[in-house]
Formats: sequence, structure tokens, C-alpha cells
Amino acid sequence: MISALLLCLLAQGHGARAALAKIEIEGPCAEISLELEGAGHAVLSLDRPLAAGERRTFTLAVPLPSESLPSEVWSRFVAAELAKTGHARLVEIVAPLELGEVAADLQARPRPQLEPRAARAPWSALFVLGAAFLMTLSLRRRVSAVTLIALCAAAAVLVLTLTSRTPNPTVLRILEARFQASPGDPWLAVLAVRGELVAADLSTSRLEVLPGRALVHCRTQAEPSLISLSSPGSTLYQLRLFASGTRRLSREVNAFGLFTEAWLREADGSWSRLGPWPLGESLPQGVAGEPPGWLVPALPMGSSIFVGQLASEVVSQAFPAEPEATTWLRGLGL
Amino acid sequence: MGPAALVLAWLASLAPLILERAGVLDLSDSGLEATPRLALCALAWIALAGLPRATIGARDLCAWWGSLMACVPVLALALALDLERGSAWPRCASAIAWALAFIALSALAAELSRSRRASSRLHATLWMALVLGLPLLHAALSFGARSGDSLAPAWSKSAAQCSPLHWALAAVDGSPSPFGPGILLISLCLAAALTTRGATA
Repeated sequence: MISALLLCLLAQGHGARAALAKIEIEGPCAEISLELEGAGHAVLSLDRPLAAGERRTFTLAVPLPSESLPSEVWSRFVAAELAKTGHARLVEIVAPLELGEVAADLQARPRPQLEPRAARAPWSALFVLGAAFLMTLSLRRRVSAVTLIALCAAAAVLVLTLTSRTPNPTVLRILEARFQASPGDPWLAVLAVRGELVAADLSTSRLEVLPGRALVHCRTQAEPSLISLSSPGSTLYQLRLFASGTRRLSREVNAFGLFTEAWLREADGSWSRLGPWPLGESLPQGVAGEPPGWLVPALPMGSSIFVGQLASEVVSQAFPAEPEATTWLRGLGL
Repeated sequence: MGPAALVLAWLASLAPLILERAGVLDLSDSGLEATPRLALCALAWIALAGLPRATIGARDLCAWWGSLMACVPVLALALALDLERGSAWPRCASAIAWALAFIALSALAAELSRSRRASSRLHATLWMALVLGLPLLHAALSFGARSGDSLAPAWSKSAAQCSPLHWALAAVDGSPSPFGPGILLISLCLAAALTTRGATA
């Protein structure tokens, strides 16, 4: 019971940070811009500016505050800010998608952490840099020598840095699953993006941000409708329900899709690396090996855990309207 | 630049890259049109290469060229890191070309003017007022603003954009125009060359 309460509290800890608002605009107007203190800002760009006296209703993405506030309070605040523009009036703020249908333990699972896109100068390049500088310092009146040293060092540094790049995902999707759930119970699809989410769909998904107090900037293009959300230095999560439909995964048969790489943790805690798991085949015999640590942070003990990377063709069928992203299935009770 | 200034400039220009490597500085959210690492590295070199010289003496163009070459590998590393993090190639190429030009012109103006005391004083005055003073004035007026009614005047922003230091700072998260700083630095070089005409090289 205590763990159930804890799970509920954890689930409530992730608050929605953006919602759709219907507003009425009266021309002349080409853009509406709102600064919403403690939440971020919202901009609506009209491709075709409204003429004087012309009146139309638009849908605009607005940030929600990081603190939990009653929706009426936030609506009144947004309405007051819109009124200050002199051209717009709030009709309503549509409540963000609730994930009540998803089991609380799926909602409470740790969100994938994406590394900042910080650049890391390789040690080899720094060593070349130091050596070249010392040589330049000692020979700095010999024009041809220092020119040669500088050009060679610059070329070496460029090659060393550009060839030693490490893959650092800036977009990632995790399907949180429970294999022992009833067939109709939805899973949770979490799309994690660093910094900016282009073409966000707030009508069928929920936006969360980490760190929770980060400001969210919403930019809406009216026609064709396109919403971009950004939060510099933060990770944005787009959460939606995922109905597995006829897709099933069991040890006897993979009726879900091709996994290019997979791992399994047995209930006793031992990990095995399964390698690829083709569609229609039974669970491969694995060898001892652990998955990347970020994929399995603080998951419950005493139950089997399956982690697998879905093949890109499976992903494009399952998420046709979302950005391309490496997609992992993470489930308990296989 | 003397050896001490050269070491200082090299360390200062490398500092942003080391700090980012250590996770202290986060430059990861700049746009694709920005070259933040290159801009910060160039900032240190532009500032220190153009500093008015303390001593009066004969021009030493070999040392000037040597000093310029010392910055090339550091800027190349910054360029590679910006490219690796997704900055656009044409933008990076243009930024490094302008950065090298500004460093060369800054150092040249300081080197040319050091052969006569009057010229050195004129260069120091102009450098302090235009290269360093204008961005500081604009920053003071901007940070001093407390409301929309007391924003920094537009002229201070336009004037600050002529400073190569402002250009480097603006390139951290954008792609500023290099023409104002270019004209200013060429003018400083011409002023130094004209006021030291006849001095021994």
C-alpha cells in the first residue's frame, strides 16, 4: 500500500507544462506574443495578417506553470495577458491530456535522461594543441616554421576532433510496457527530446519538462498549424497512450516486431544479452551481458525485465506522425 | 604580443573549451547559425592581441605573424567542436575567417602604433573608446534599464556593433554582421600607419 501511494505521488510529480488555448483575434493583427511569468512565453504567428475589423478564432499553444495551480487561476492570468495585447480574447484553455488510463507504475518509471549536447574536446587534440603552442612560442620569429606548425596542428586537431565524435542521442523514445497487463490496458510512449520539440501534438499527448521549473516557450504557426516547443537546457517529454493492439510479446513468440538488440533480466537479477530477436521467433538464447545503464535505472526487483531496440521499420509503422527516434521497448513480466 | 601576453591569450581562449569539457559551461543550446565555441575563443584573442602596447619600440612584424599563427590551432579546435555539435559549415567557415581577420588587424594596429609615442597614445585612446568602451557603454545602459521606458537607446546598440568584441559576443548565439568591426579595425590600422609614417621599421 505504501509503495502504491509512493507510485501515485511520483506520478503526480510530473506536471503537464503546455496546453492548447482557443483565442479570438480581432484585426489588424499579424502576431500575438505573451510573456507568462513563471511558465515561459507563447507566440502565435499569422501567415496572413488579419485586416482591420476581421475577427477569427485560433488555437495557440500556451505554457503551463511549473507550480500546481487550479486551471481557473491560470486561465484568468492568460486571459488578462491576452487582453493587454488589445487584439485577442481567451475563449478557453483545453485541459492537457490526462494519463489516468495508464497504470501508475508505468507513469512513475524514471524518464530517460538525455545528455546535454556539450562538446568534449578529445585529449589527443588538446595534447597536439599544447605541443604546437610550445613550439610556436619558441620559434615565433621564424615565419615559415610557425606557419607550418600552425597549419599542421590545425589540420591534426580538426581530424582528431571530427573523427572521434561519439554518438550522443538528442531524441529518444521509450515504450513503457507491462506484459502481464490485460490486453486493453494502454502502455506509455515517452518521446524525449533535448531543447526543442518541433511539430508537437498537444491534442493527443502531454508535455513534461525536466528540470520541472524550466521555462517553456511555445511557438504556434496558425496555417498550416505547427507547434514548436522549446526549453533551452532542458529535456522535453511528449507522453502519449500506446495501444499495443494485436502486437504481443512473450517468451514463446515475438508477435511485436523485429528487435535489433535486446536484453533480459530474470527475476533473480541476472542479465543476459539476447542479440537480435526477429518477428515470429521465440526468445533467443542469450549470453551473459548487461544493457546500457541509462536504460534500466531503478526498475523494480523480483520481476523479469525486457529491454529491446525496435527496428526502424517497426517504429515508422507504430509512430508515423512523430519525429524519427531510436525507440526502445522496456517492459516488466516477460 | 610578448610571450606573457601570448600565454595568457592562449589559456584564456582555451578556457571555454576546457570548462565545457568539465561540464561547467553549457553551450549546447545555441542555434545552428551560431558558433559559440569559436566566438568565445576568438573573443580572448581579439581582446588581448589588440591591447595597446606598453613599450615603445621598433615594429616587429615577424613576432606579429608568429602571434597570429599561435591562435590558429585553438580556433581550429573550436571550429571542429562547433561543427561536431551541428553548426552549419558555411557559417563556421565565415566565422573563422572573420575571427582570424579581426585578430590579425587588431594585433597589426597595436604593433604599427608602438613605434611612436604619439601614435601609441592615439591608438590606446581609440581602442579604449571604440573597441572596449562602446560595448561596455551599451551593456551598462542595457543592464541599467529597469523598465520598458528606460531601455538602452538604439544608437548605443548600433555603435556597439562596430566593436569586434561585441561581434564575438554576439556570435555566441547568432550570426552578427562583421562589416562594422572590419571597417573600424582597418581604420585603426590606417591611423596607426599614417601617424607612424617615417618611423624606423
